[in-house]
Order: sequence, then C-alpha cells, then structure tokens
Amino acid sequence: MEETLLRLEAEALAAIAAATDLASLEEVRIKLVGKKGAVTLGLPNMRDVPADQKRLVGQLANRLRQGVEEALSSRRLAFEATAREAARAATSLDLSLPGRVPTPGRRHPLTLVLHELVDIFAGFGFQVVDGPEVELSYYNFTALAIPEDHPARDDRDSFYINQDVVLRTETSAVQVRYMETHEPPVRIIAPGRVYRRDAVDSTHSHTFHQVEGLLVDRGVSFADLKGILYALARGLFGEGVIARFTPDYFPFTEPSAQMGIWRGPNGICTDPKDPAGRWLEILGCGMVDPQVLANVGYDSEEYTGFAFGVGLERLAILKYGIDDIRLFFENDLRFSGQF
Amino acid sequence: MRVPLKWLTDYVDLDRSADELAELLIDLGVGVEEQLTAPGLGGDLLVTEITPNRGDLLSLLGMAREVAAATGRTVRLPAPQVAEDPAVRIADRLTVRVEDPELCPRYAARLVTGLTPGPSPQWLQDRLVAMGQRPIDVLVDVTNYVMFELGQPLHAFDAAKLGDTVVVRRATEGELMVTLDGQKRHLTREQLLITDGHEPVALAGVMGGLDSECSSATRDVVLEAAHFYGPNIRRTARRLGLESESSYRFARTVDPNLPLLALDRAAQLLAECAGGTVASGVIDVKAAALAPRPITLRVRRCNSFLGAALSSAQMAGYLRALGFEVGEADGILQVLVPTRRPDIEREVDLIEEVARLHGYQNLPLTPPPATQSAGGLTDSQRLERRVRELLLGAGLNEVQTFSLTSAPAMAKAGLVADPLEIGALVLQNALSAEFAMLRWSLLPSLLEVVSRNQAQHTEPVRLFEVGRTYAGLDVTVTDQQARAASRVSTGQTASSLPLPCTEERTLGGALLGRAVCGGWNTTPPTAEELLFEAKGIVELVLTELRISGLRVEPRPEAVFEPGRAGAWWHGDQLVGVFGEVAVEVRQRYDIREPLMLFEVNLGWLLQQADTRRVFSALPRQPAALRDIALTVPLEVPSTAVAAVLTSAAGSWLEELRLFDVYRGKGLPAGTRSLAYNLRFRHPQRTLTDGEVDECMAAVVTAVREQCGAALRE
Repeated sequence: MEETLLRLEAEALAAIAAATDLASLEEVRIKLVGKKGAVTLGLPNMRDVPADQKRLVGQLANRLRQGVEEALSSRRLAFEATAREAARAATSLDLSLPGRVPTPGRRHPLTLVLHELVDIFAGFGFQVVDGPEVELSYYNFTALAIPEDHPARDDRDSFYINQDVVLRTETSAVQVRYMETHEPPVRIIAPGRVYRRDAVDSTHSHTFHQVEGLLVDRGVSFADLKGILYALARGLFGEGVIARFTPDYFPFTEPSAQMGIWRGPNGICTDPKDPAGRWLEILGCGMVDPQVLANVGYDSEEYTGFAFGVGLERLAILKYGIDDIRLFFENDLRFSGQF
Repeated sequence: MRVPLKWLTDYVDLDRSADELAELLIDLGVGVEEQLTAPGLGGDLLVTEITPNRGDLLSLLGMAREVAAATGRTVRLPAPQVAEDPAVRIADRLTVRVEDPELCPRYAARLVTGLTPGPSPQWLQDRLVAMGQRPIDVLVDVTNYVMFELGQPLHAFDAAKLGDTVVVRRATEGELMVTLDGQKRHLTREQLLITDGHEPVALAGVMGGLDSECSSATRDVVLEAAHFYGPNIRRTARRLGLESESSYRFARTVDPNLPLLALDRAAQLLAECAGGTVASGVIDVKAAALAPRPITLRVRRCNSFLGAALSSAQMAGYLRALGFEVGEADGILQVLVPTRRPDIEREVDLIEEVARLHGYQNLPLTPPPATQSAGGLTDSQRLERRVRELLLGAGLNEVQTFSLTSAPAMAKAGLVADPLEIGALVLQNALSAEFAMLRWSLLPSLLEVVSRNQAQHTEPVRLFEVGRTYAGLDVTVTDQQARAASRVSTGQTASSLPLPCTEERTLGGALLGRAVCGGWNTTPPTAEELLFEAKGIVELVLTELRISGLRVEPRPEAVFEPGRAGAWWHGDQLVGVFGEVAVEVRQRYDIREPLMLFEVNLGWLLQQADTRRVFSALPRQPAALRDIALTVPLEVPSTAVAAVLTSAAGSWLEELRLFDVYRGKGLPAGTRSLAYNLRFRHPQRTLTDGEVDECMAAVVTAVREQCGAALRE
C-alpha cells in the first residue's frame, strides 16, 4: 500500500511537470483528480487498511492529495502568468498617444467677469436685481433727472420703439424701478444689456453690458463710495491695483466721478512710475442726485446714496488684455476657449 | 477744446509744465486727450474734453479761471479800450426787435465802420491756427478769435447788405434760406432766424446767410453778440447737420453777461487790425436774468455728504477761488454764483465744487458700510448658476449674441412669424437693416454662431446662450402710466410698475459633434444620438429644477426636420422646443453636419423650480434586478410603454430604465424592440425571487394587453 501510494505520487507530480500549457495541464488534472482520475481512484479506502498501518497510510494519502492539488495550482498560476505576459506584450500601449480629453464648455468672458463682480458685491450685502431692457423713457431719462432736451434722448443716440419706449441706454433705469417698489435702505446691483445708437467697430457696439450699483441709506457719503469701489478694484484686479477718482458729469449723480485704473500694455500695472502706464476709465459713479431721490418719493434730506455703472466689456478688456469689443459678440470658440 | 499754453498765460500765470497742468485739469474734471506742440503758435497745447455741463470752459478765459481757482492765482480779464466815434451812433443806423425773447433772451450789437478787410495780423493768425482754424480774413478771424478767447460766439454782418433793421424771429413753416455754405435750407417753426425785417440773414447761433456775408468789399460791419436758448440751437444744428464752434457753445449755454465784453473786444480788435472806427453806443435788447444766483450751503451737510471734515473757511475759500461771492455765518455759507456757471443751481452743486477744488483724491475713504441684510443671490439666481454649470459640464460653450436682429435673419432660420402679429419690438430709428428689431427667439443667432465656427473648422460646436427674447409689445404702456404709478403720485410704494413688453429669460442650445475630442478613433455621433442628447440636456436641467410632468409632443416647425422635433408643454403653455435642424435650413447657413437645437423658457422654469433639497435615507435592503425585452408596435410611444410598466410593476419598483431600442431584422414588420432594466426593492425586507417573478408576470400581461407588446424571446 505504502509503495503504491509513493509511486502514484511520483507519477502524478511527473505528469503535472510534463504539462506544457494550460490545456494539457487541464487534461492532466482530469486524469489525476477527475471523478475517475488515477489519484481519486488510487486513494485507499481507510476501512480496508489494517489498523497498524492506518496512521502511516492516512498521512501518505493526505500528502498525495494535497501535493497534487498544490502542484496543479502552482503549475496553473505559472502558465497563466506566462499567458498574461504574452498578452501584455501583444497589447503594449504607446503612452505618448494624446489623452482623450473631455471638453466641458467654457464660460463667456463677460460672464466670468460678471460672476466675479457679483460675488464681490454679494459680500458687501448687495442683492442682484433685474430690470427691463425695453424701457419707458420715464425710467430711463425723466426720473433720472435727464432733461427733456438732453442729447442722450435724441433719436440719433438712442433706439426708440415708439415715442415713450426706448431700449435702455444705461442700467440706471433699474435704480428708479427698484426704489419705486422698495423702501430704503437699498443695496442693489443690476447687471444687464444696454443699447446705444453706435455702429459696431473695434471700440464701439450698439449693444454692451453694464452693472449698475446703488446704495441708499442714512448717512451714506462720498467716502463710502470711494471705499466700496476701491474694494471692487482690489477684488477684481488684486491688491496692488492703482485706482484714482476724478470729477465727471452725469445728470443723475452729484458730485459725479469716474474711476480710472492704472494699466500697462498687458493689463493692470502696479508700478505708479511705469512709463508705459496709462489711466483707463472703468466706471462712472457719484452720489445719487437729490432730484432722483425726490423723483421716487424718498426724502433726500434723510437719505443719501451713491450709484455707479461699470462697463463689463471694459473690465474684461482690462482683465484679459482683449483688443476688440466685437470679439465678445462674434462667439468664435477659439476666443472664449482662452479664459 | 484746445488750450495753447502760450495763449493761456495771457490770463493767468502758470508755473507748471504741460504734464503738470494736464494732471491738474484731470483732477478738476477736465479730460485731457492729447498733448501736442501748438501748430503755428508753438509751445505746448492740451486737447481737452469738456463735460456738457461746463460750457464756461469752452474758452481760454474760462480755462484760465479754472486753473487760477485751483492754483490760487488771479485771472487777468481782458479790458478792451474802445475809442468810439461820437459822430456815428449805432442807434441812428440800426434798430433791433426780438420777437421771441425765450429763444433769444439777449441780443447786442455794435457797429464798426470804415474797415479795410484783408488778412489778419500774423499773431492772430497763429493763434487761430493753434486752435485748429484756417484764417480767412480779418473780419471773420476777429469774431472767431474773440469766441475762443472769451467763449462768446459772434457774427459779423455786412452793414450795407443788412440795412437798418434786425428782427429776431422764428422761421415760418417751409421758409427757405441759403446759408453761408451755399446750401438751400428748408426751415420750420423750430428754427430761430436773424432777419433784416423781411429776409433771413442768419440762422441764429448756427450759421450766417450767404446774402449778408462779409466780403473784401465790406466797409461797415454790424457785430452781433447774442444769447440764444441752447437746446433750440442744438436741435437746429443737428437737424440741419450744421454743427459749428458757435452752435457747440450755445448748446452748452454761454454766459448771458458776456455779450458786451465780447463786442468791445471784437470792436477794439477790428479797429486795431482792420483800421475801422467804432460807432458810439451799443444796442442791447435783453430779457435774460443777469444777476448772480443766490444759493445756501450748509457746512454740516457738505461734510456729511462728502464724509469729510472741512472747515467753513476752507469751503468758502474754494468757492471764492471760483469767483463766487461767499458770506459766512453760523455754519451756513450764502453764495452768489455768477451767470457763467448755470450748472450751479442747488446746494449739492456747490458741494461738488467744494469736492472738486479740495480734490477727489484728498477726500477720505471709508470701508464699505456694514449692513443688516445678507445680500447675495436669491435661490432662483443660484439655481440659474447651477443650470449654467450643468450645461458647461455637458460640453456646451456659453455664447452671447446680439438681441438686435432683422426680419430676414429670423426668416433665414425658418422663423416666419409676422413680427406685428407676435408684437415684435421694431426699432423706429434702426441704425442699419441688419439690426432693426429685437429677437423673439435665440435660434437664428445660434445658427449663425455654429456656421461661423464651422467655417473656421472648429469642432465640436456645442453652444448655449442664456439671453432675453422679446415680444408682446403693449402700445398702451406710456410714460404717463409710469408717472401715475410713482410714489410721488400715489403716496405709496408700488408693487409693480408698467412694462412695455414681455422679456423672457430664454435658454438656447446647439449641438454639433461630441463632447470629447480625444482626437483619435472617435466616431461622429449619429443624428439620432445627437437629437436625444439635446433632449437629454434639457431633461437634465428639468431634473435639477425638480420639474416633472411636462408633456412632449411632436413640433412641426420650418427650422426643424419633419418628424424630428418636439416640444415640451405644461398644460397649454409652451415651455420649450428641440429638434434636428432641417437640411434646407442648414444649407442656408452652410452647416455640413447634423445639428440639433433646443430653446426653453428658462425664466418660467426657474419660477416653477423647487429649490428645496431634503435628504432621503439610502436603502438598506438589497435590490432585485430584472431585464425585459419587448416587441412593441411602432405606433406605441415609449412613454406609454413605460407608464404601463411602471403601474403594472407595483410599488416595489424603484427604477425603470430603457437600455435598448432596436428596429430591423428579426422583428415582425411594424414593430420595434424595447428593452428595460427594472430594479425592485422592498423598504423593510429582502424580496424573494417568487415575489419579483410575480411582479414581472404582471408586467408582461399588462404590456401585452395595453400596448400590444410581446415578450421578445
């Protein structure tokens, strides 16, 4: 019995070692440990083993079974590893091939700048409000203290739908609508399109975008206006930005001002002595004219306020160094993909 | 306004370089556009830009005043010495009648006789050249010179041609006159004329008439220095296309106290330069208010308005420097503002003058004032940003196109609605036919953008725009209603104000090509895939906004391929459309590949959106998954099959997903195959195979009976 088992073990291990690939190994496996395999059948029935040999034969039988299983398994793993190697070699990749790039869409540069600006003012407690682009001349001109014979009202400068209806020429019209429907204090910005009767060229467009800001409360001063707009400039262009306020004229603010930013050939310039530096006016602003407050029924002795209007195209031009306003509306994807 | 520094120093001492002067002027609110060497005259010259409220700065003297005020100097006023000839009196030679004192509040004239016209002296010519003028002859040059020097436009008439009478009146309707430039002008009641009592001799404040023009034969001239109503002069100049140095100044208001000084100065120069004799006396017909305007300034108000702490004396000092008379008492300044500054009417105007002279840069700056309200975006505004993020994530690039368009541009896209019928907003005074009305759909401009990009070989071209569309013009909405709705009229805060039309916040999109540009081994999407991607992108938005229950129906529209377009409806409200662009339309835009468009009413969606987000616990029980493939008659829409499946599967059905649609070989004619995944889950326990099998059996029976569907083997 003992000899039979040892011989069987030796034959089985030799057969396993002789297998040349996974398929022949499988044949060997079936011949050895299949239902009718040599090892399966060759294992002794322990009842038939004399009592004094039971222990030795049991040990040998276990060793035979486990040894064959292990040999089959390690041989299989070896064949599989070889096969994998071969498969890998056959499917090797050129990792220098370009990646498959997902192409999420790009925001329009005006939206990028607008969202930045909105976020800055949201931080100052401003709400974002909306107003119509097709506007009554009362809200666009009259209530903003723009006199009946002011050139802005002229049909050479503004688009009219009919005698009383105009495409708004500035977002300031929203000031009036908001104050008419809300009690002070007021703290709003109003972004949107405005229209002027200008032919389109590299610096002009009949359509452009503004963001209007309005703050009305007790005790609001020109110093507060300067404070908020400096904060805006720093928020948009960084801490080093150089800004200045100089007097200007708008019918609906008094005193009126413009804010200029010191710019170099490639956007913001942080060196006040840079010979290439130039001032670029980026927004108009001022204290809300008491007449405007009176026109909406606010007590202009009790309340004061400031307003500003900033051109989005201008901000984007300054921020990104864009040189032609038409690019904003041509929507060449090679343009918007740059931001 | 050009400012030659050599000339400016006639009136004010200057110890600054041109650069420094430019800085000073900018800080005062005078724009400086250019700095050059003065032609003719030599020396530096600043080209300044004057805001429309500051007509007083449109002269060298006005500029000198401003510079003097800011530098603490005094102004040297010209003080012309006129040697009048007692033998000749203007009153004997001329009478002036002003019929419309509103349009002509002052009309003054002087007579200079015995002139010898010819070229002006060189110094005078040089100064005019510096101002960008071509010297003509001494008579014209002197009037121009005085205008640049003092700001008062003057006119010289040949006294012999003028006769003995001047009548200032409105033109009659249809009246004709020939202006200096030889043009025949058709006039209306809106134009003010200087006449010789019968015929027009000048278009007041704008241009002289050909018939009364001075020439080399002129010996006697009548010099006119008048004050005309600015807005009327501006309108006339614009209407006739005759904008001149004179009308430019009148439009911005000239000091009504200036005419006599200007006449004396011009008369003196004519006597000096053209050998004339000045007749004695001046004709001066006036209705204008010539006294300075009194205004009170409260020192405390000024400081609180500016956020400053200026003393009463500082404020008074600034105002006096401007030439205003100021009395100080108890924190109140009583200010007399001369007539050359009609822009200073109220206390707040004085506050601006104080701020200007103090320097905006020198005023304090305070941090943004605190507030109780949180500010920021509303839920709906935040949601709109979220929608934009989703669209960007889906590979759509944001575009912004003009709202102004034209009927042919709309029709090119197949949008052939009658602009009048839909209440389109048509411009009364379009600048060009291309931009003549406001769009009522974003689709035409999206088509243009796709076309333009494809022409540049850019691919994919996947776009979205959030923009307004305009329709429903209400012609009954007028300024009158706005006035009536004002708090000033009603005494209360309005809840809504009149709107002239409907402006919808609209989302449009265009898809051409896939959102991945790996660059190699990619296949172009089929039109069908792309169409359902377009639909799917809108479905993504609807899901994000928690809007369900919209009905989708076929949408025949000229812009879309027949049978390949649909619309979302909520009741009888059209929410949006999507579809494959018709080949004919694509050809018009030279678009070579399948293109899908969608357009939805984003404003309405955001209004309907549910912005609440509430957590629901993740399921703890295992799910049971089943697939089913059905052969369904072609006429049964997938939504009907899905509805039957959902209701028949019972309440344990968690999700139903269509994963395969097939038409073709191996199926009975007139049918297609639809295959679904079904996921079942019980909230409290594990479902047995038997239970799920029962559900599936119910599903099969229901689709067979209700949809005519068969289980596909």
